[in-house]
Amino acid sequence: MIPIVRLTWRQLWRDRRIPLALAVLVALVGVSLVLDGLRSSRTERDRVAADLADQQTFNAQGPRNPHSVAHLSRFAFRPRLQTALLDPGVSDYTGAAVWMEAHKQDPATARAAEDRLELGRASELGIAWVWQVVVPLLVLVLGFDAIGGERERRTLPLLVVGGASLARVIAGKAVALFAVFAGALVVTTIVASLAGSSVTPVPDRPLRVAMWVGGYLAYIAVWIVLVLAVSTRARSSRTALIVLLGTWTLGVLAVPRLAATMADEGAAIPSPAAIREAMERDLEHGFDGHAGSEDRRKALEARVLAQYQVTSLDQLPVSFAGIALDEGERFAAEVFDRHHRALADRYRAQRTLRRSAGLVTPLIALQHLSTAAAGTDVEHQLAFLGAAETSRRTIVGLLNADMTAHAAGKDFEYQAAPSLWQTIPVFTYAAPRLAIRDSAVDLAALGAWLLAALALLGWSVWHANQELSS
Amino acid sequence: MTSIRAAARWDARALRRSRVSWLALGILAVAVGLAVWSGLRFRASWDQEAGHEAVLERFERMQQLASAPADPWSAMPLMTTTRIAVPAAPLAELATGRADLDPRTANVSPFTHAGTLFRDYQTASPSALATGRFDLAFVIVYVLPLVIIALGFGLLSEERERGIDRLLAVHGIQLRRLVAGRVLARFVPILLPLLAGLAVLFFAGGDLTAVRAARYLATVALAAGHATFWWGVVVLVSTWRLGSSGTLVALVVTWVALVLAVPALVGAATTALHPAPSRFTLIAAARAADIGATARAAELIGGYAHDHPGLDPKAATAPPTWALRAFVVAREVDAAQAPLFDAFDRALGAQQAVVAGFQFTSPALLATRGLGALAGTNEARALAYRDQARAFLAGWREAMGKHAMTGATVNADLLGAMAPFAFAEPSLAAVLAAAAVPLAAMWVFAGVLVLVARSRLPRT
Repeated sequence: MIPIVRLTWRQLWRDRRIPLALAVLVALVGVSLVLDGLRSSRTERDRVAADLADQQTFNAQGPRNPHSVAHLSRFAFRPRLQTALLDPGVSDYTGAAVWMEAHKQDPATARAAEDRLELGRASELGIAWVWQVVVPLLVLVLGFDAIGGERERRTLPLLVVGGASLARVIAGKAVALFAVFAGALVVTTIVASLAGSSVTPVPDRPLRVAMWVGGYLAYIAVWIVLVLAVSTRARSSRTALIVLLGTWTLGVLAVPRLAATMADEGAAIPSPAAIREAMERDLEHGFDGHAGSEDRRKALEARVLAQYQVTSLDQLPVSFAGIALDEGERFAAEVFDRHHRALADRYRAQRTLRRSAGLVTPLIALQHLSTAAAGTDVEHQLAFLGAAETSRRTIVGLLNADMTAHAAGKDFEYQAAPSLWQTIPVFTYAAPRLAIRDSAVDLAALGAWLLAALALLGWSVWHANQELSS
Repeated sequence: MTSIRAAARWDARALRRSRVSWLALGILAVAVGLAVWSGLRFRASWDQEAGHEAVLERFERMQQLASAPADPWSAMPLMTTTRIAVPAAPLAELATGRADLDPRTANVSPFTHAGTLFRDYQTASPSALATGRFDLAFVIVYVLPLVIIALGFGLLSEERERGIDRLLAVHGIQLRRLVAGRVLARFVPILLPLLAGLAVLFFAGGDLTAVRAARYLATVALAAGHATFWWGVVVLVSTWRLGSSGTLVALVVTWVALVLAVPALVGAATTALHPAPSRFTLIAAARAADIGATARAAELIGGYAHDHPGLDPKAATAPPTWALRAFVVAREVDAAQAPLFDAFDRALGAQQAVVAGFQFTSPALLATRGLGALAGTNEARALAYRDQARAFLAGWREAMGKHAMTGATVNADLLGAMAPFAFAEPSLAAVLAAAAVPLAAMWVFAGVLVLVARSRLPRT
């Protein structure tokens, strides 16, 4: 097999296809790495500086009412993970800042995509884009005539007669092509890892990088096997090229976009106004529409009076306003959890719908795997939002507790000492550990694609052997 | 002309026998159908959202008027809120552009500032946003050239491979006319589904007005120019005397370079050259301004009364201090944020200038920019809406602040004097002017390509 590998490399080098493919790869990956690397470190520098400035502003606000401070509260800024350089995923289309204010679970704001011009989202330069979109085309250009070309030049029977079976010839060509792209992928990954060292580290980075590399190796292998299968079966190199280009157009260009649109229609996300209205309705009237905020307040009042064994709120040794605010937060948390869970379920339903399009293209499974490994998928965004919401509840809870304990008789006129602001915990976010179980479906899908491609290749080889022997 | 017609007829018959042609045209027809469906769905959801907001705006106005006499809280002008929404872009069904990304609705109150005006809109599916929508603009920009390549790569190379080109030369058949006939025969079946799709969108997507018709006519011209450009590329590459596989590879490499690589590089270079200021910095600055203004609230309220002779906060039916404070703080934060928002606008303006220069490097960029302008889903309309919304917010806040300081209460006259938000659509002339450059450039490039290709074809 090694002579076939060498022969293939020599042929592809001589007709300049390997140098051309590598030049395209180096240029696109190089530009991606430099620009993405610069952007990542700039974003991180700005985030850290803004976070520090905001903390200083927060700590230096002087004596204030804790509830007033709970309205100002803090912002949670999402860090840019080291692995994000491998695949920006949805990170530019999701907010990176959450206002952790009282009474509300705000959506994340500050989406990077809003601050640039719209030039068509099918071509956003990045390492993942190069490997998902451009590399299959390069595989195709390098391999479409791998077998058909030998047949047209009438060298295929010579190879077979020379002692190499057709299967071995094809295996040699597959190894030759795979080695070229696998080598380039490993170099890309090493350089990207070095370039990403200036941003927030990820604890399970080796595992993530391994899954990322594994996914792309499988994807490249699928394309190489498909290309060789078509090249073996097609009557001419020309026909093989047409079939393969059609496959690429559908599988890489059209189906993923169509799948995303169909999923967005199939599990439609309610409009922001509808989500807000539904939350406000539940907050005002309760989940069943019969436990209004006024009723809840009266019930709380009765409960607190009984607990402290007094007959009026003036006699309470604590601030009823603080207790009421805390109770309001507790109820609001239930409302927010219900609505945000429903929204997250919609996002996940869309992912399931998109996965069904994975029957038509391996790219969808790869995209899910790649963004999960890079920490830039919707699940990671939900984890960030969850961490911000936990932090919001902690901050607002601490401020409400201080008000309850110290504002008896003064309520909103009470001014807490500035030392209280120093005790408010600073938001820190660590990316969740890679949930391989979530990616199992996508790993299995890529594996299935590889098996299907190999089966197709086996069928093509069987047909070609029949033709050769007749 | 007779020979062109004859060549076209002969080629049409050959096309009917070609499986590749049927497959390519089938893919185009299906893509157009799906894009039309998707575009109409997008349009309908936007119309529904804007309509819903308009109904709610009227309902909340009535509710405020009804509860004001009995409820002192509702009677306070500083407690009034209103909703604003941008109507669907004129040709939203054609090109989604950035319309799925930008805010479309907002809540306005006297306590709102520009930084919090649009705060609840980022719930759309991130995956759908990152991938982009399957609309007719996508079909025109990305799929159409590939279909043209699939139908056209064998324009001359097949004859060359079979040796028929010499036979044609012996018979004195003019190659230019032959190619013209063939291109004509292959161009028509491509344009038909596209025109049908555009017609469906025109009739089903919105009101049948002259303005929409003008936008659609310009769209047809742009799409036809784009198709002509790619036919020019196909004919030019066909004259390189490559085999059909070589021609196909050359065309695909050209497509990748012009449609994928160049726009990707231009996009990356644009944001690298003119990055927008940090949103994190903007947020931190707004919050510092908020805290600073809150600390100086009494001074600011006094200053406001001083700047508005005739208003006397002490004489008013005293709005609560926190409400007055929130009102003056919002004004102050707006003033503090203004230079930062200007910096964002400058960055976006600089990006626009770079893209305006580089759009000539790729027909895909020209088509994307032109279609976005015609559809009204580009940054120009989004920025117009944002500016109008901010101006409306400032007007509402000032009016309600003054009413609050004079002790006025909410009533029909007070609210009636406040017109609801109405988006002023950029004029057709401005839109056509924005689309004229990509449109003209597309046709100039297409014309040059066709002429160059024609000059490379021997007369016989």
